Amino acid sequence: MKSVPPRLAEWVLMRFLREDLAEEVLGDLDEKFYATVESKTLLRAKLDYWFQVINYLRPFAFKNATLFHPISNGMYKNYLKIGYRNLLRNKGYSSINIIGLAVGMAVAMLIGLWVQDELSFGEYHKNHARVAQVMEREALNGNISIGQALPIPLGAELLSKYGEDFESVILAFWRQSLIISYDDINLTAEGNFMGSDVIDMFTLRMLKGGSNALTEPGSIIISESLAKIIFKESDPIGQLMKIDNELNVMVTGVYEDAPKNSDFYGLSWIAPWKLWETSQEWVRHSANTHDWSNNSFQIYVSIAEYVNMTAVSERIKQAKFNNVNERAQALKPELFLHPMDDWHLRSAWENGVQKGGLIQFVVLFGIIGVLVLILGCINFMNLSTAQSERRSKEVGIRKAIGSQRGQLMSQFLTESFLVVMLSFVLAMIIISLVMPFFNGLVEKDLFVPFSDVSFWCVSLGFILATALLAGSYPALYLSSFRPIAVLKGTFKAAGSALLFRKVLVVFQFTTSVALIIGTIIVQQQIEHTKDRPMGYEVDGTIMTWSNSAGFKGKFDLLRNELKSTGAIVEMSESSSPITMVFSRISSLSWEGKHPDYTPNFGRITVTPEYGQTVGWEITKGRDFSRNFASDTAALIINQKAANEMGMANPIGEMIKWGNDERARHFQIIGVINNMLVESPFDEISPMIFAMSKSDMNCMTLKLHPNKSASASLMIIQDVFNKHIPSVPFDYRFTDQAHGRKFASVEKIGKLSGIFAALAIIISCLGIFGMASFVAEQRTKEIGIRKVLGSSVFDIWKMLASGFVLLVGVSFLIAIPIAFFTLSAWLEGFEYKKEIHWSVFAMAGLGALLITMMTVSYHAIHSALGTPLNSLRSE
Amino acid sequence: MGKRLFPSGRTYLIVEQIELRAVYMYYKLEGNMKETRLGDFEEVILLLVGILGEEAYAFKMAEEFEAQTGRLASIGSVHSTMDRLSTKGFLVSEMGQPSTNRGGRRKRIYTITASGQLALKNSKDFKMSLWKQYPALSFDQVIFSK
Repeated sequence: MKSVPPRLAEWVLMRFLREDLAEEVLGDLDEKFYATVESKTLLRAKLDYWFQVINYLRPFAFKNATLFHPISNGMYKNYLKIGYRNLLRNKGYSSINIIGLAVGMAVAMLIGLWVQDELSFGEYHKNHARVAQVMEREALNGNISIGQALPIPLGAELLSKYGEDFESVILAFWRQSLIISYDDINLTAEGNFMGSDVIDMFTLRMLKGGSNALTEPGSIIISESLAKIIFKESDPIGQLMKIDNELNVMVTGVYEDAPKNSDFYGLSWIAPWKLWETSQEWVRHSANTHDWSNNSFQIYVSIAEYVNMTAVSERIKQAKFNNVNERAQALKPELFLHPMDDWHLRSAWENGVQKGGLIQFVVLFGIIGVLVLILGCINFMNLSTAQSERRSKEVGIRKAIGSQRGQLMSQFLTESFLVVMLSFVLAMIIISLVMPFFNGLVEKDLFVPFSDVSFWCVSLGFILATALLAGSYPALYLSSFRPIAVLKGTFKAAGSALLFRKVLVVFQFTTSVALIIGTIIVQQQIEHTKDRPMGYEVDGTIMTWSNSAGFKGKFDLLRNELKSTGAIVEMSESSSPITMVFSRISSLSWEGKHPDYTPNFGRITVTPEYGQTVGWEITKGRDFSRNFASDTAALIINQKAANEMGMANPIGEMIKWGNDERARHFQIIGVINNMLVESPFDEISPMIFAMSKSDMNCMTLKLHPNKSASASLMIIQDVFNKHIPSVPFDYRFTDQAHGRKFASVEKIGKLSGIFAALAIIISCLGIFGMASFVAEQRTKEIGIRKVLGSSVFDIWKMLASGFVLLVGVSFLIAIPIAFFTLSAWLEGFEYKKEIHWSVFAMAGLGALLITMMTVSYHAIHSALGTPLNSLRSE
Repeated sequence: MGKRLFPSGRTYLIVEQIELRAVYMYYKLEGNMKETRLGDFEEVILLLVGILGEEAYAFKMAEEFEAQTGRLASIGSVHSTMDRLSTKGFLVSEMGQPSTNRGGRRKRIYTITASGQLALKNSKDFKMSLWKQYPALSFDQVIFSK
C-alpha cells in the first residue's frame, strides 16, 4: 500500500500557511514523512506529520500576518481627519446618520434606565431576597383563584409549627388613608397597621427611634415627609397624635421616605398591629376566638437564613387546610410564598399559576429599545455601503500603495466610531431635554447618573458596541474591494451588497409597520373599553371617604342640608365606591342551587338613595325605598347574578346569606343592568346590593347638573366642614376614578405610539438618504431619459417603485408578527376588541404613504431638473 | 485637457499616507539593524547551515540538529529561526532543485552570508575571551569533582 501524508493535516496547514512558503514547507514535510515511514511505522509518520503542521503555527508562517498590523497613533489621527472631512463633505448623509443613530441611542438609553429601575424595584430593602408574602390558592368552580387575605391565627401557626423556617412573621392590615391629627392639624395620610418586626423585616431606615419603636401598642412611626409637614422643625418624638380621631398614639420613630421603586413608597405612617387588633371590635373578636374563617388580613414573612424560599413555600402548603372547617377545606386552600422580588414584576396570575406581569412589558420594551437602536445602526450601514462606490477609488488607491485590509478596516471603524461619538453627544442632549417628559409618562424619577463611574463604563461599552455593530459591515465590505477593478472603473456594487441593503430596509420597515399596527390595536382596545356600557351615570358624581369615626350618624344630616342648598340632587352612602368592590361573598344559597356551585358574588351595602345617586337602570322589580321597612331584608342583584343563579324571574326569590346560625334571609326585589364596577377589561362579576347602616366607607354625591360644579363643590365643602370639622374634605370625581383604571394600558399605548413614531422617523431618514443617493447616482440616466421623452411621472415611478416594493415586502412580514404578538396581548383581557383586517390595511397604507412622500421628494426633484444640467455635470 | 484622476481632497490624503509609510519603514529598518546578537539556538542553526552546505534546507537541518544535539526540533521551529536569521541578514536563500521524494517540490537552500560569518566569529571570539579569563584550576576541580 502506498502511504501518503494525511490529507486533512495538509488541508489544515494550507488554511494558515503563507502561499509563498507552501512549496518548500510541503516538500520538507513530505520528505520527513517518507523518511519516518521508512524508519518507523505509518502511524508514527502520520502523527509526526500532524506534529510538524502544528509546529508551523508561528507568526512568520501565517497568511496576512500583517492583517492587524500595529498602526501608529499618527494613522489614527489621519483616519479621524479623513473621517471628519468625509462627514463635512456629505453634510446631508452625515446628519441623517448622526440624527438617526442619536435618536436610536437616546431611546435605547431611556428604555435602559427604565428597565434598570424596574428591575431594581424593592432593592431599597436590604433583605428583599428573603422577604415574602404568604398567599393562597383556592379552587372556585373549577377555577383556581389567588388571594392574599388570610386569617389571623395563621401567623401564630406559622411561627409555632414552622418556626425554624422563619426569622419573623408579621400580620398586617391593608394600606388605608386615615386622618392623622396633631393639635389643630388634621390631614389624611396613607399608612398601615403592621407587626412590630416590620422595621427589621423591611430594613426601614430609622432617622429617629430604633428598630423596637413599634413594640408599644400605643406607638406610631411616621415618614420623614409627614414629620416635616406636621412638626416642621420641632422634634416629633414623644408627641401625641390621633389616628382617625379615635386612637391615641405617641410618635416613637421617624423613617426615611421609601423611594418610588419600593412597595413602601407613599406609606406615611405605620402603627402597631396590636393597636389595630385591640381597637377594632371585629378584629379583636377574630383574634380572641382564633377564627380561621375570617380571611381579611395580610401576612408577611422573612425566611431564616440558609433556607430556600421554594422549599419553605412547599412546606407551608397545608398550614391553612389543616386548621379550617370542612366547608373551607372544600376550597382546597393551598398556601405559598410570593417572594418580595416578584411582587412588582411578577404578580399576574392565571388559574393559580403565575403568568408574568409587569416583567412582560419590561422585556417587551427592552426588545423595542434594542430594535430602535438597530434601526439607527442600519441607516449607518446602508448609507455607508451605498456610498461605497464613491469611496471605492479611495479604497483602491489606498490598497495600491500598500494599505492592508486590516488598516482599511480600522479606518472605517474609526469613522464609525467618530459618528457614534457625535451621536452619543447628541443623544445625551436629547435625553436631557426629554427626560422630564419621559418621567411624567412613566411616572418615575429617572435621571442620567452622570457622576456614576459604572454609567460611563456602560456608556463606553455601548458606544464601542454600537460603533462595531454599525461599522462592521461597511468596514468588511469596503475593505474587500479589488483595487484593479476599482481603479479601472469597472467596479459596480455587487449584487450581494444591494441585496443586503434591501434586507436591512425590509427589517427597518417590518419593525416600523409592526409597531404601528401595535399602537393602533392598543389604542383601539383602549377606546373600545372606554366605550363599554357603564350601566350607571359616571359623569357629575363625586365620591368622598366616610369611614372616619366623625361621620358616624351624620349621613341624614348632611343629606338634608346639602339637598336644601341645591348643590346636589341626591347622595348616598355605601360600603365601597362605585368603582371598586371591597367585599366578596360565597356563603349564599337559594332554592335550586347546584350543590357543587360556589358563588363568588361582589357585595356592596348601600343606603336607599344609592340607585338614584348613581343612576342605575332597573330592569325588573323596584329600587330600595325608605317607605318599606322590610327593605332591610331586601336585595337588588345585577343581571349577571340573575344569570348565574339560573333564575328567569328572580323577583320575590329568597336568598340565604350565611352558613351558620347567624344566617339571614333576603328577598330579591329588583334586578339592575350590569354595572361596570371593577376593571373595565374584565368580565362583569355577579353583584348583590343590600341595605345596611354599618360598614359604610364612602359617600357618593350627585351634583346638580345645571349648576357650576366648582360653586357646588364650595357649598359641599362648607357643609362638610361645618358638621365634621375633624375630617378634611377630600373628594374625587367618579369619572376620574374610572379613568385611572386605564392608566397602565394608556401608558403602554402612549409609549408604543412614541416608539412607533420614532421607528418610522428613523426608517424614513434612512430611505430618504438612500433615495437621494440613488437619484444622484442616476442623474445622467435621468437626463438622457428626459431628453428621449420620459415624463416626470415615468421617472418618479422608476425611482420610487423599488422602495415601494420593499415596503410592501416588509408589510407582508410584519402582519403575522404583529398579529400573533397582539393576539397574545389581547388574550389577557376579557373584554376586548377583536383584531380587524382594516388595522393592517391602515398601517400598510400609512407606511406606504410615508414612504412615497419621503422617496418622492428626491424622485420629483431629479425628474423636474433640466436634463442639460444633469448631462453637463461631470 | 486630461481628466483629473482624483478629486482634490484625495491627493493630499495619499501624499500624507506615503509619507507616513516611509517613516514607518525607516523605524522598522532601524529597529532590525540593531539586533545583531545571536541566541544559542540561532548560533547552532548558523553553524549547521555552514556544515550542511548545499544540503542546508529546513528538513535536513532539523534532522541534523537532532543528530548532533540529541534534542528534538520541529521543522517549523528550525524554519522560523532561519527565516528570522534571513531578515537579520545572516542567511540568504534560494530555491533548489525538485526531487521525487518531496512530491516534485523544490527546496529552499540557505547559505550563510559574510555578516553571518562575522556574527559567528564575534560570538566565538567573545566566548574565547571569556574562556581565557577563566581560572584553569577551578575548571579542573569541577571536572574531577563530578
